[in-house]
Amino acid sequence: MKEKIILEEIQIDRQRKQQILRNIGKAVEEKRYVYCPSLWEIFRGQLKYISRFCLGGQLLCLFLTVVLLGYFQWVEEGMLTYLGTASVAASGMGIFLMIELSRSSAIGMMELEQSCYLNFKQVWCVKMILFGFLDILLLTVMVAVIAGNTSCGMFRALVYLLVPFLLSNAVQLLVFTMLRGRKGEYLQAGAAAVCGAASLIPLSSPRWYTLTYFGLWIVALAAAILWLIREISLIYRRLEEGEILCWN
Amino acid sequence: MLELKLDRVSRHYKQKIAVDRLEFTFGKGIYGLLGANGAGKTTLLRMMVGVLKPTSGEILCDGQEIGKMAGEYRRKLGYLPQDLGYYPNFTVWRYLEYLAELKAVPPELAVERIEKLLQFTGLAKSGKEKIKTLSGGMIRRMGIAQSLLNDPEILILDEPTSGLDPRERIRFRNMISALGRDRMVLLSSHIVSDIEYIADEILIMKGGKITESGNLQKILKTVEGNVWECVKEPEQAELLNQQFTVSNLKNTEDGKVVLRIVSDTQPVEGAVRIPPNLEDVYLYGTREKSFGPRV
Repeated sequence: MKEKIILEEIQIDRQRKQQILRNIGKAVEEKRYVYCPSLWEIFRGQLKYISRFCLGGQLLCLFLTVVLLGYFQWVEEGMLTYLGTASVAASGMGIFLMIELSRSSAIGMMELEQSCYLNFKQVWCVKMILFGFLDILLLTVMVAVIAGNTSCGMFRALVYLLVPFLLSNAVQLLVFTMLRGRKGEYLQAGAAAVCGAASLIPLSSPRWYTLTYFGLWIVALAAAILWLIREISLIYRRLEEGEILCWN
Repeated sequence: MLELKLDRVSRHYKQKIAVDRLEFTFGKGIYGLLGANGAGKTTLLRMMVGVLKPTSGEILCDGQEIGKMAGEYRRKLGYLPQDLGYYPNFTVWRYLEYLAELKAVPPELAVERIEKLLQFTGLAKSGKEKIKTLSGGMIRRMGIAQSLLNDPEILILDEPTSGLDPRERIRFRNMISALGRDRMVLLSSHIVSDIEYIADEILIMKGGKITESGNLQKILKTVEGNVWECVKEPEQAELLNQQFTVSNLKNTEDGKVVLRIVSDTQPVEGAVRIPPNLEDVYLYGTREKSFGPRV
């Protein structure tokens, strides 16, 4: 009761109240709403805009390889058939990511994307993680099937598949840094085809897949890793400098 | 406070110096950047946007180096590149929606903002159209819309009016004037009249350096006394046109020619001094060396 009396006794200056409300409104309007998307929102957002051709192609590649490996199991094919098919799949599957990445460079989007809060490099990272996840899934399936159906162990199968996979990705990055424009995509597809064909070379003689030559595969794997690291650092440096981002 | 400071910023392309130790401080308002092709305008704008890294020097936003601010700086930016990139198969709406995500526009505000900007740029009816079906002017307007998606504090526009017809240019100029009231707008253009109409401050670039800067009155003063007008016979006018830098040449009804000449000295007997305009300043500021007869 006492409180009510006090409130009623307070004199309200209506003009001053309006002024204060206006000031508050203005301050609210001027206040910038800073929004930081979560990692999940970033991934979900990018997934929406990835080209259907690239994502579909990658998934189709995964599906066909699994079907093919299943068929080989059914007809009880030999180790070389498994390794040949898996090597071609391993060297070819990087192409979809590279086509997706080169999409922005082919049409001058890189410069614009680089000026955004989530810049080009971050968008690239997200796409690489998404496609990389599918690559790892496919490699795991292939290694498991090969190890389970041939005399080749897990580790050896992994090395045999990683060599064409890493070499093909290094070649793709090399082509990407060397060429720009619409035709770059075709050249990248061409490079992937050449890598796929090259991955079949060891099949010319079964002895390449024996333990005697495994040391050579390890050396090739180390070389492929070093080359890929070099290509990634080169492209990172160029992106930092910025010239590669600009259309002219 | 909003301040963007160029601190001895340079950019080299192998042996060529595109931007040479530039020092300038930008605040709120509209800045117009004028310069011939190859003067370093686009390189400067790209460095200010953070696309290109300066070879030396620093760009500071409110005292912080923009490279170190990373996303926090880019959040303040709106950028329209000279050659606007786009995915041809995207619709206008999808394109703006995509860039709104990259610019971290809050999802609950994005739709409303895209609608407003489409209205603002006269593209309200084209939202569902694929970009590859749009005209050059419409694509330019879409570029302007994307640059405003995040309500930027710093708006950098490289040749924003190229490809626009006169009506669209005027509309765009008015739009920029309105935007420049409470933010920093930096635009480069070849079209001198665009800069003359809307820029609070004009910067003239040549050989990677800012040769003149200031408001229109200050800039015009720099060539006061160096602009001449004379009326001559067509043959003599042709000779003068070859010898001097003529900023305008107009035929009169009586078969004579009125020449507007930019020169340090009186180009011909009878020529009278006239007040300069920005085109004269541009020609004077981008001159080779001395501004007398061209031998």
